Amino acid sequence: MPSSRSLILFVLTLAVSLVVAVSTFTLSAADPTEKDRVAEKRAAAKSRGWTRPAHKHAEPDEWHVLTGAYYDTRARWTSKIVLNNKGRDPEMPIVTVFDANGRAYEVPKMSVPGTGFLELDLAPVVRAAGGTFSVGSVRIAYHGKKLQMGAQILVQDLERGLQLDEQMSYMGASSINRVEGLWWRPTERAQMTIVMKNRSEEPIVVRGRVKGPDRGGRPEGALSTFSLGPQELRIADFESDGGGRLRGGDTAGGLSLEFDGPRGALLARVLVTDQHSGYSANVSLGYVTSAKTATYHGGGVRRSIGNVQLTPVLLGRNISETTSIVTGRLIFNRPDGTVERLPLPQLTLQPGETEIFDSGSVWSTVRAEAGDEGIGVEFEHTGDPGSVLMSATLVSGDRNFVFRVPLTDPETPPSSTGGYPWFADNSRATTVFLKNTTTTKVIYLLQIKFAGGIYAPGIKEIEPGQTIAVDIQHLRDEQIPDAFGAKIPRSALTGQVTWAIKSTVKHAMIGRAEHTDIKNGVSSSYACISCCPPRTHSVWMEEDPISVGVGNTVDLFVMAQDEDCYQNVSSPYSMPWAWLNSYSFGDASVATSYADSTTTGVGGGQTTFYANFPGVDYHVEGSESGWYCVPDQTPIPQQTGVTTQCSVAAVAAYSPDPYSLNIGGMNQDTQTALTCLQNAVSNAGGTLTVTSAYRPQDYQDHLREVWDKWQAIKNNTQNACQERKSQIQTEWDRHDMVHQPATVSPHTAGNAFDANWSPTSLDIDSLASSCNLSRPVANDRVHFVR
Amino acid sequence: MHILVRSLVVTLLICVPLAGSTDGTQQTAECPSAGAPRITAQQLSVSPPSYAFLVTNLTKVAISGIVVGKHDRTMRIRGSAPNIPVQMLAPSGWEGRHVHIDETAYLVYLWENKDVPARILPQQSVAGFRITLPTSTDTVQTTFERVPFKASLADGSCRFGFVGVDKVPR
Repeated sequence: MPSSRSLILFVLTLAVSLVVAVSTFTLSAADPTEKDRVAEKRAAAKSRGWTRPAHKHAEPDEWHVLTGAYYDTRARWTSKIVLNNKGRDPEMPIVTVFDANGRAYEVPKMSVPGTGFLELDLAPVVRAAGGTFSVGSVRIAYHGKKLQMGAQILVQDLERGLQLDEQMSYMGASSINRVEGLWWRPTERAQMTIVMKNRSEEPIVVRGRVKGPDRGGRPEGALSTFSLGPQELRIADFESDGGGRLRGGDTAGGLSLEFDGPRGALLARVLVTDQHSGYSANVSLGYVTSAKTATYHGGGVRRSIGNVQLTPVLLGRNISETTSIVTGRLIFNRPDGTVERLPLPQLTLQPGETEIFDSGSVWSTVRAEAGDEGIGVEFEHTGDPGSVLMSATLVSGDRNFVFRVPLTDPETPPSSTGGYPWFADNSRATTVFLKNTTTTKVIYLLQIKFAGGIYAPGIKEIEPGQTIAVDIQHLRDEQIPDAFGAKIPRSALTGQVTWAIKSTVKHAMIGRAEHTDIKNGVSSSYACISCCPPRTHSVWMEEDPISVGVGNTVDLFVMAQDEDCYQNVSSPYSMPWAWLNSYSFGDASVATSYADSTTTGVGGGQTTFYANFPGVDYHVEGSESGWYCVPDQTPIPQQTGVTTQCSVAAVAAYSPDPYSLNIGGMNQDTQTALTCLQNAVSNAGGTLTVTSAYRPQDYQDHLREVWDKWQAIKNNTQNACQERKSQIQTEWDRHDMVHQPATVSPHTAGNAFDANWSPTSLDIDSLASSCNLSRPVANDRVHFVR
Repeated sequence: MHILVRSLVVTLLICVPLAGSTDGTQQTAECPSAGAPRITAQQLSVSPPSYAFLVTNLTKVAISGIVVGKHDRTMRIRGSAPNIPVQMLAPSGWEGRHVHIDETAYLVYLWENKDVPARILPQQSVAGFRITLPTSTDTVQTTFERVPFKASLADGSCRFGFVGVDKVPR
């Protein structure tokens, strides 16, 4: 909790200019074009629907604190913090950096935009704070909603392809003061460092043990005992401390740290770097008591990055006193859309043992048969929750690329939601991985915000166990439209992506964003959840009433918008009917449905479409250390009138109809030629009757309309079409045609006329030729052209 | 007698079945003949040729239009001067005109209902449909003997039949 001094500074420094390098993303107003017209129509439809009254039970704003264990600006290292604000309004957090001794420096105030993010380069901060701050830790305090802000520290040495990413964490209360982790290094030469941060205001004493992978044969390496003052950071070299006592060749093992002090005070990580290969990893040590199940799920076990192929390293460590059997599987999407599960070889872990899964043959199959990068991994073990630790890492053959795949106990996150910055620029590309952690199909809503708009793919289903990979750069570069036809502009380089489960199944989905920098061979993973899934904000019928032709099918959308716990209202979406509580047509002989979100006219008449929308609200239960979201479900009834009528529209009236014979409308040369021909026929003892001359284009269009609609309706025997058919037949009788009129006719150009002559024995072509006229159309022998 | 001879010639020479449309589509018969209305043409005068038509609705639906001179792809009345009416009359609520069939050398005579209550109801007979043609010795001039007609019905369907001709009243 921030001190009163911090609060005063918070106010006083609002006007202080920030002399740090920052980049921001914000949303701006949409272009006032077609969007406005659609929005106007939708607003009218919404006004006839349902809107939730102003929410009376919104969570109050409180102070929240996040801690990051480690940053480094020494030598070639640079560090930056990505502050992600999921709230509607800008947030001004108090950012404090601590040097290794726990001395604090408060960073001048900065504003993190609403539903946006800010990148804070720590180099200017360290310069301002003083030399002892070149390495240290970070605390962020903000006044807002639960989980409204997330933050990530990126410690980089891009020249050597090294990046240590750490997602800053909220301080929770654990029942025991022990953290556990497991580590893997590609070679013995990889440097390993243990980082311990005391995030409390009281001293703590840390004792640790490092373990190798063997089954009891190898000795444990006891670490030194570390005394850490308030906010102190301690960095211990693995080799020179406990790790050096392990025998050579160990590439995987465990680390246990126990401490005396306030609960939850210790934040510990293992940093693994190999400057020769570019391998780098930041391994988090967790409080084992936070585990709720004996399962782990991870999404985004990708096969490759660019042209570089990746291989998974799957580790298990038994931290209990009893043997545990671990089973697991890789789950991937086949090109035909089906979801495939391939079991991994079973692993038996003795007490204290760390072992690597032999996933080679399974991975070969996945690599060959997967249709996309939506690949997930699942594990179960026979021990108590938290008694076995698991980790998954993807590495390239040269070890330069390292992708950490966080494995999550699916019942640990309080909600199935997420909100992350995204990038698609010259250096970074973001892929969002979403995974269904249940055996039930569920639905979710994902939206990608960028400056000036929102990309809204709509409600999507995710199969049991399935992982979905959303490659934002691919969506933008391929200009793939969303549910409303909108695309991510090619100029959009960054923004914020949010997702939330739409089913009320508890703990059903996990998600994360993976940012990759192919050029520098680094990646980071970020999983920032929201307090609760969004509540239903409004529901309406997009068309009310709706009209459909008999035999025709039109869209009939049940629309909705959600509001998240930060009062952000989502873009509208159409709820697939299969996910409505119920729907029906009042009279199926008038209209029915054969496909989702559509209605088909069956017979002429009127009926009503009834829908029960699965409205939902959430409230929080539990304590700060173990709160969770409870859904309150309320069906929201909606209905719309459906009018069915003949699918062939009436012929628009034309006046005068038929169009009067208009010789004067022809061009002068054609009029002269016609006079010539009339005289020639007369001189030959006959008569010439002009039946059609100049026609305006709109009359030609009318003729074509009559033809087309008569062809469409002449064999129609539906009762709903009788009157319409009679009307069109009247038009048809008025014009009687044997061919479809041309779209553009020489008659409309004024250089053609139709004429009959008598007697038929006249050599009309010779006479026409003498007047510069011809009959060029073989099947239209009354058609003369100048 | 002159009329009868001319009528026979017309029937043999001017009945023009079109093999099919030039766009290659196969045309199907649009109107059945079963239960067709009855139309008889009474020749009122020979010179100029003048005819009065009596329409009797033998269908179960009101008649909303009458087209004389064409049945599907078969056309009977050449669209040149001898067949262009000097006058077309219609009963109240109806309107008559000739229509040149686009891209052909033929025409039809059309009576179009303009007032729904004036439609010809089932079992009703209505007179007042009249045509006067110009005086002509041209053999293409029609006589209405066995000329096809189409009756358009209020439900959008139609029936076809042939005009019967009564001679000049004595």
